[in-house]
Amino acid sequence: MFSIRIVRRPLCHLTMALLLSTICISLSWAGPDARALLKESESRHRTRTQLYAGELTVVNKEGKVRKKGWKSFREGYASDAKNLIRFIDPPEVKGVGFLSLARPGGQNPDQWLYLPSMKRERRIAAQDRDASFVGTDFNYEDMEEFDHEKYKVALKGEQHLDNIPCYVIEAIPVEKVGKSVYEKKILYLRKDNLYLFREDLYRKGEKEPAKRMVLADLQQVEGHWVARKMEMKDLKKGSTTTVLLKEIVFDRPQATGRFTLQNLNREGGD
Amino acid sequence: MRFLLRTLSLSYVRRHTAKTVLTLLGVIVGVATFSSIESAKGTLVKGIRSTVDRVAGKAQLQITMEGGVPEAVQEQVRALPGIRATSPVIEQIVTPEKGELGSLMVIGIDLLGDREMRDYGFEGDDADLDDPLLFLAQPDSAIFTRQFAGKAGLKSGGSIAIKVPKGVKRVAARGLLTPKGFSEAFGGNLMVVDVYAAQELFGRGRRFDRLDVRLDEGVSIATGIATLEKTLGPAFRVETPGKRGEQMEKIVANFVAGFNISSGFALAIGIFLIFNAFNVAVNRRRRDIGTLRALGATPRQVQLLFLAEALVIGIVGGLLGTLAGTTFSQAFLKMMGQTTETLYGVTSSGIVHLPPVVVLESLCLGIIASLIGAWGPALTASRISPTEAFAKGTFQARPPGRSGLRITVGVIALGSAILMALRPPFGGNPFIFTELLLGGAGIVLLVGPLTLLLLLGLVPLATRFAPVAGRLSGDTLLGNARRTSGTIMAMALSLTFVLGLGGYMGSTKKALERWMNDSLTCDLFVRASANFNRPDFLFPGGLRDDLQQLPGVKSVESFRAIRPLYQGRQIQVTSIEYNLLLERIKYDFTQGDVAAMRRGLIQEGKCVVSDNFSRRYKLGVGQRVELVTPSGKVSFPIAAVVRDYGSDQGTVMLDRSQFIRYWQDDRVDIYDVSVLPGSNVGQVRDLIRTMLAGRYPALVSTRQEFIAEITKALDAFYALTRVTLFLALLVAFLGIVSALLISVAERTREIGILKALGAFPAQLARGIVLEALLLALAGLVLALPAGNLFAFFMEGPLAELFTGWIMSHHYPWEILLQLLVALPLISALAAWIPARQAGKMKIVEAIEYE
Repeated sequence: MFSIRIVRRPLCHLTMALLLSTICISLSWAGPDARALLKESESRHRTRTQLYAGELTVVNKEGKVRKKGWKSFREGYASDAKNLIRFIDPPEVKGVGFLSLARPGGQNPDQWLYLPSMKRERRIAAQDRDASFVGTDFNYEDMEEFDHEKYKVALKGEQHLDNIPCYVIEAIPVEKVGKSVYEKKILYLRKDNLYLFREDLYRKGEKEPAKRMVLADLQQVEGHWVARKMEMKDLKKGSTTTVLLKEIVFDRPQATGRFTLQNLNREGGD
Repeated sequence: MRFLLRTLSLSYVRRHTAKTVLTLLGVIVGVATFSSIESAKGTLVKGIRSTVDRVAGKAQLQITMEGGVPEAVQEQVRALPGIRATSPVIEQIVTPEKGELGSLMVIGIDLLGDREMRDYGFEGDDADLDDPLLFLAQPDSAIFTRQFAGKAGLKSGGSIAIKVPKGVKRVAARGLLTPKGFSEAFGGNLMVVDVYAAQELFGRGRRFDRLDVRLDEGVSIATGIATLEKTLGPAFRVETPGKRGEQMEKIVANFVAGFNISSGFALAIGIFLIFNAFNVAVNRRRRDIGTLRALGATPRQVQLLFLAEALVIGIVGGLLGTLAGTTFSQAFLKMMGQTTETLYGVTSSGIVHLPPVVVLESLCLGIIASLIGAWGPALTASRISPTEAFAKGTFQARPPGRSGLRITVGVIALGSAILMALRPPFGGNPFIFTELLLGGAGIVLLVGPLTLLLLLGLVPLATRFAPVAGRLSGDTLLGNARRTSGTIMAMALSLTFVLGLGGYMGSTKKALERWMNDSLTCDLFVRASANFNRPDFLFPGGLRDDLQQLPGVKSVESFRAIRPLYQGRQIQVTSIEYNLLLERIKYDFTQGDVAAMRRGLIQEGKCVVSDNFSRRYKLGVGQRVELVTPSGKVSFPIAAVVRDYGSDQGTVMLDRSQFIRYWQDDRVDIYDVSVLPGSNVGQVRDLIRTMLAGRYPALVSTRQEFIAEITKALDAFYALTRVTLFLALLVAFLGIVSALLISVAERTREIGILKALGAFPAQLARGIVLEALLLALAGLVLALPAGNLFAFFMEGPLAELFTGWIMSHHYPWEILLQLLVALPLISALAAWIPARQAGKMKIVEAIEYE
């Protein structure tokens, strides 16, 4: 059985897009099924580990720009994924860390934020999943690994976006154990490589999407499709967060104990 | 009636503008005192509640615990069913280095997830914070309200110096709050910091001041409380923000209640001034009344005329008094706020906006006071027959009433008040009200006859020293017994209030001083916070060992006080190493002895309670005090009862080992350091300062300095009482001026004749000054026993009722001395205008008068 999952975190999106694109051709002859599409996408784009340096730019509605730099590490995939982000720039925020560890059984992952000034980590509670991730347009749920098995999915049709044909898939959180801040998500998968192209996020009780994520600048790195640019727009606030991915490396062994609280709390630990 | 008011009353006002203004002033001062105290009091209480409510935001429940809520509790609560969100909070009051900006309330919250609780009004969303990541990453980050930032000239990115326990610290404004909802708490003087930064800043360790809880939709408050109480156990208090606000109000209730007596007195004195003024007005206008009666006016119409005048004075005086009160109320509020913060650790802030209820109450009281004051004279006026009215002098010659009955009723009322004070048949506010009513009525009824008796003795004495002036003043005073007794009554009431309250203040202060001298006997006190009741910072328990190692240190004791609720009241639980403490302190025992105390506290795990605790809760040696601790309910047997003035709600004393055992908290408020014989206290102090520098905030005071600081805090408490004393004296002053002006006006003809016979203006002035002095002296002589009775009542049954304390009486000699100096000066000053008026009178016009 395939267990393809769309990964929400930047790297994971890129990986998933890569996977999806490869199954696109094989599915073109038959009437496609949303679950099968997502599984195939995961299968194509799955990687064991991923490292990259991110350049984060937040532009608010007044046009004020804030830039940050981080390093991202991932091990595992979807339901067993471990992620560590360490801010490296500017100096005032250097050392701030974020650790996310997936939990089994469809539960929400454990997440912690480390602040060097306090020399201690703080746990992100379930109630805070909709809080902004350090002032970006991503929230803490957006930072989680996306597991399509936690969603009821349905193919809603096909659509051309920027002249690229896409499958339109509706994903509704099942919420058996873990809760979601979203009522539904609309995923746009490229038909050519089953890579995620766009995602519209609908908050509970809202008819219009609250946020929109677009993956762009799709390139092949070490044999994997990767979107080097990821843009999250808050459609209500009018702000945009862009992550540019650099120095991308796949499937390298990770340092022992990298994804632990001890390492998160270690000054300069990565 | 309108015609009568326009012709008779207005013409009287025009002819006697000064007297009318003085009568009006009586109402104004009375109402101003009442309205300023009431509106300041109202704003204080409202401010306390509003701060609690606004800071609470959407929180439906709040979890607190003595000593702080451990961090781990948050995760425990979050996992419970029915809990939508929890958010930790730390609250602290700090002052900016620029003191004129006023106190700042620091709220430490978890900015990652607090939006479930509070609406921050960042004009949009979090992103409008200058930089949320920078905010979290830098421990000097703070958010200010736009209101405060404007006042302090602070822009986003700018910094401001504030005084925190560890010294002066600069904090950077990395966000501004729009003034709405939450940010309006504490009058907008709000600073928001990250809760974990606040823990570090204010030495909270890994604890929060409280945990705010929001429940899932459909979960009732009762269910939420039951779930939380069951999970957390009895050491935690789970209550709604409203209930917590009420609790805080209760804490300051005793303090606030004292002001009711002050405003009541101010009004009572005002009533006597009005009574006096109307009495004289009736006397002066008896011919007008006679004419009216001769023309067919009914007694009822005459009475109504005077009452209508009183109504007008009441309305005008009430309005002006309310307006005047607003100007004083802000100052009152500031003083009250500082006192409640210092003494009770309860914070409030706000700008006094005169509440409509207070305006209405003040107006009504002004009117009621005027009508009560004028009722008697108006009734007298209605009973004047036309023939009597036209017969000059008969009115003055009339005896003032059935003095036998009056004296009997007065003696019974006063006697009953004294008996009730000695053996109160019931308690609470009804007791206080009955006491004041009976005592007040007794004094009022007895002052008249006693005044006459007193003047009959004083006038010959005055005549011996100043034959002419003495005789003139004596004749005036005795010739118009009604006016004289009315003035002296107002005077005596004012002075009774001054001496009574002064006596009570003196007794309390003496008792506290004696207690401090007996119990604060070590050489140095090492504190982390200047706030006695709500320490900004607590020392870690391990610091004692470091202090102990310093050269010259003989012993170090670790004092810790918490203020838990006991039977709905906030008592104090203190702990210290009693094996060391009992070596240097001699307690005053009301039950048990030092051996029982030592054995009980150190070996048997018992407690010792203060005498006011014992009296309040009717518990003594052999009985048990059940306290709620983090380890559950613990019942401590009482080993002894000692005299202690640490808390007005009662104190339970435990050995430190017991406290640590049950409260699992070894933090320390104050380290009491004793130095070795022959060691230099100053040098040891320097060593302690050097050791703690850069590590902990430390205020190291010598014994004398420490006592002086506590005394200063207590003085702040009494400062407000002094203001009301001043107001009482002001009313008395107005009373004398008004009485003397009336006296001069009434004796116009007599003064004219005296001047025609060769009397000098100076001689006349001396007579008037002597008259003022006799009035003041008579008032003082009558106030001496009455003031003493009042002081006995305040420091006896009243203090016992509110605090459980029993204090030995200390006569306020210093206040008496101040009065003996101030009263002649006030009297002479009060006599100045009437004397000048008398001196300027033209002989012919004066003789033609009437």
